[in-house]
Amino acid sequence: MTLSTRTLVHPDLSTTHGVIIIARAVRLAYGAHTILDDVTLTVHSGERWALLGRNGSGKSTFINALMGEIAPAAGVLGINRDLVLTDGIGLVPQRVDLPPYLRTTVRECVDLGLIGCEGNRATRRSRLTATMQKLGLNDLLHRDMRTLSGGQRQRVFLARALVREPRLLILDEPTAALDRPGEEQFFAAITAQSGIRAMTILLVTHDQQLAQQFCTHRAVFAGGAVCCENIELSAKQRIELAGERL
Amino acid sequence: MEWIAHFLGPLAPAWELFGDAWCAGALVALCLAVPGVICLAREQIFIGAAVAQASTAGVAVGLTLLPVLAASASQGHVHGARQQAFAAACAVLAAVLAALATTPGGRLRRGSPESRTGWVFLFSAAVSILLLVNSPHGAHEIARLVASSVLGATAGDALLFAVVAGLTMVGGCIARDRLILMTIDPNWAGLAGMRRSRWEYGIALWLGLVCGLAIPVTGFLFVFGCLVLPAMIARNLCREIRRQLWVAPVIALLTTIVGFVIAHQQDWPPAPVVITVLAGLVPLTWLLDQLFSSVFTRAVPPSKTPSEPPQKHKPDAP
Repeated sequence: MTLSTRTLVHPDLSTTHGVIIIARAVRLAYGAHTILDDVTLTVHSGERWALLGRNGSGKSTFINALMGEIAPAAGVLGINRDLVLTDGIGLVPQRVDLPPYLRTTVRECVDLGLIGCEGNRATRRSRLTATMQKLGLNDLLHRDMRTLSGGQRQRVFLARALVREPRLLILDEPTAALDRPGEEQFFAAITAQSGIRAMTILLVTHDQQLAQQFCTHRAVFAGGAVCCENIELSAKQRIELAGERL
Repeated sequence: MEWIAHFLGPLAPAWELFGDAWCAGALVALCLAVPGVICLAREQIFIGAAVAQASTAGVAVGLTLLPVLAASASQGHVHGARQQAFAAACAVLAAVLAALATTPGGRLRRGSPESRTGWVFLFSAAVSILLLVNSPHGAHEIARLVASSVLGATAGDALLFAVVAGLTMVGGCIARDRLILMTIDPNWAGLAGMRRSRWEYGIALWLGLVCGLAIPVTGFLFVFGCLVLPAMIARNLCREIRRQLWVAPVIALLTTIVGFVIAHQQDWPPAPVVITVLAGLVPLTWLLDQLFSSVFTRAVPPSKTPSEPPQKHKPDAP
């Protein structure tokens, strides 16, 4: 996925408006085969969006388009210019596999997340230490990535995304290989991080319950179209979210 | 220090005769070790063989084309330095083209990088034989390249590889982290603002240039061996690619010196000796790594972190 500034950056968007992503009548296609048509949505700063839908409904295609991998066949798809310029985007992929013979440690893997970020050596080091501590990875710092379990590896990849202190975090079915406690811990770490800095989250998932618990909005992908709606939050969730934003 | 002087002592009388060749060989090994780490980490070892073979085929093309070009320009026969230079230029060009053809990615490419690598290797091997089948001198040159005779290197070659080694080290230091990121996770490299295709082509160009320049000087065996084996040893010794990137050149340099001393003392061809020493170190360092890992694991059991949730899946096999 390469960030293509030609297709990605929207010059009219700025943080002052609080808009992070804007899609207006977007059509996404692979050649003549249309995947999504007439997609319109606006994502504001601090919102948590669940991208729901069946396999092949176009969720990943939308994410790919957002990352600049696919150019829209029609319409306008923009992402906040400031995000791209400061590299404030983090991604946790669905698959966290590394080449089987690749030798690298947890520290090296997470440290690579800081490439392209601003800040001097000390700042970067403190960011790294803080993130590792927050995710409980300090004990695994020097462990070979090949010896980690799937859940541990998932946390390492989350750490790599969070160490950038992203303004936009994209989670592509990140907990598919985790059980419920692992999932809760995963999202608790994200919640803790988003409390420090207003973080917008796009979560690709099949899990309606997870979307209900964690997200503020949902976009349901079905039949080549997208239906957007707010999620009714409980009083407790509203208080928690307000606390995080403060 | 005395033992170093004692060890290197036998080289002194022959320095005037072979000094340039030894320097060139050691510097070639140094230059190849760094891209070798990247190739090994990406599990593209065979690219080294394919690029080296393509470079050999480039020499064959050069030796075949030069008489034709000279005849068309009415210059008669061309021998010596001009012939060598033309063959070397063809070798570099062929190596660069092969490296670009075998690089992963690219929208116009067909087939996996492995299949393209195999095709390049086989095509190059066949072409280099066919082109020079009726040329005794050319066939001898190709046989020399395949067997690797480092001793033909000149002072100019040593100087050239000193420059290439310097550039490789400086470039490696500047772009180290980005190189590693491209190796570990190209998708994330794109997210971090790196232009993936440019980096892929850049790495291929670098590999092609180093191999292409090295083949006419040191031959196939030495080039392929020094590309792959120091990286394998470094991987056995280091847990992080960052460290492998500087450990591999050090190993390449030291082993080459040791190999040249042994070869000179025993009157053996230097390149096969160096490669044998390197190849011998691979299982040795692997055993060391296994030993260290088992001792380390017993001393400090890798306990789960307090916050580690129970896993429903078994941990992945290492």
